[in-house]
Amino acid sequence: MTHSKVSVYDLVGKVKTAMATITGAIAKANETITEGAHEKFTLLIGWSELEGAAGSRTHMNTLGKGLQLRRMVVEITLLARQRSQIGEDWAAVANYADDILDKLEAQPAAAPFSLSGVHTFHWTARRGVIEYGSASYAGAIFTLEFLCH
Amino acid sequence: MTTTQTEVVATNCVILMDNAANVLVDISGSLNSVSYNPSNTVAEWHTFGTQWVQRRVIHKDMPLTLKAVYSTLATETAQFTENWFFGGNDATRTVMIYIPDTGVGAATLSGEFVLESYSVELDAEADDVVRVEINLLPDNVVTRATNVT
Repeated sequence: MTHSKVSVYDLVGKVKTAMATITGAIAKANETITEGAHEKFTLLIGWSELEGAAGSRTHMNTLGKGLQLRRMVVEITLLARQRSQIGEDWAAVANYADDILDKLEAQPAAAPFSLSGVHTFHWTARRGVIEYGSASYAGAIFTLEFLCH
Repeated sequence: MTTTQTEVVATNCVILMDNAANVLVDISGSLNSVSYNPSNTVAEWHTFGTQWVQRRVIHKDMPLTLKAVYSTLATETAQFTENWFFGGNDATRTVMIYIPDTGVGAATLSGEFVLESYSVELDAEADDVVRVEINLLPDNVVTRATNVT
């Protein structure tokens, strides 16, 4: 099987497409990002870090530049709900986090997020209060690290 | 003292190896490290009347180690090696190394080599592509020359 190069734009868009299938979630990425968020369960998807020739200390992974792997980090910012009642806030974050985890774990081993050039990905998340559009939200940031062709 | 201005990096070195039809193929694009280790075996002896050891070079050898990316194309390093081992023909194959590239004046090392061993680790938890390490041993003379074409 040959692999296609994965673009940053496509990866962000495909993660958004997957997240948008979560019931009740409003997922935004690329052109659909807005300055403000909806009242609850908004997901903002964007990239945060890139590495060329992943794992190499040069610009190539093989002699003669035969292979250049890409490491891309995509963040999903979960805005669960505006800060109001702390117990309900964190309960919402936990429930929505479960939905996101289910969606991430449902990705196939081959071509996750429908991108044949994605070899692997790994994720971590951290809960927090997130400022967005002049409001505070109880939420979390999911960090997805991709190894791509 | 002069300061060198002819230092090289390894990124443009070129490695060619015979395929099963004894045609040299450039496999550089699917491997990222080649190490060769010329060595002499040295005989030692003492004679009456002197404290100093006498030595003489007897044999020469040059093991070769290739580190490749496991890929599925038949004309690339990993499949070359798999087919060499499992193909039922353990005959020697020509290996040729150009340092630092294929330009005029480059150093070349070439010889006939046998496949001693290779290793592949398939690790689902590795955040990396699959790697192959291949150990070759020369059969007869390894030649060092200067590229003139």
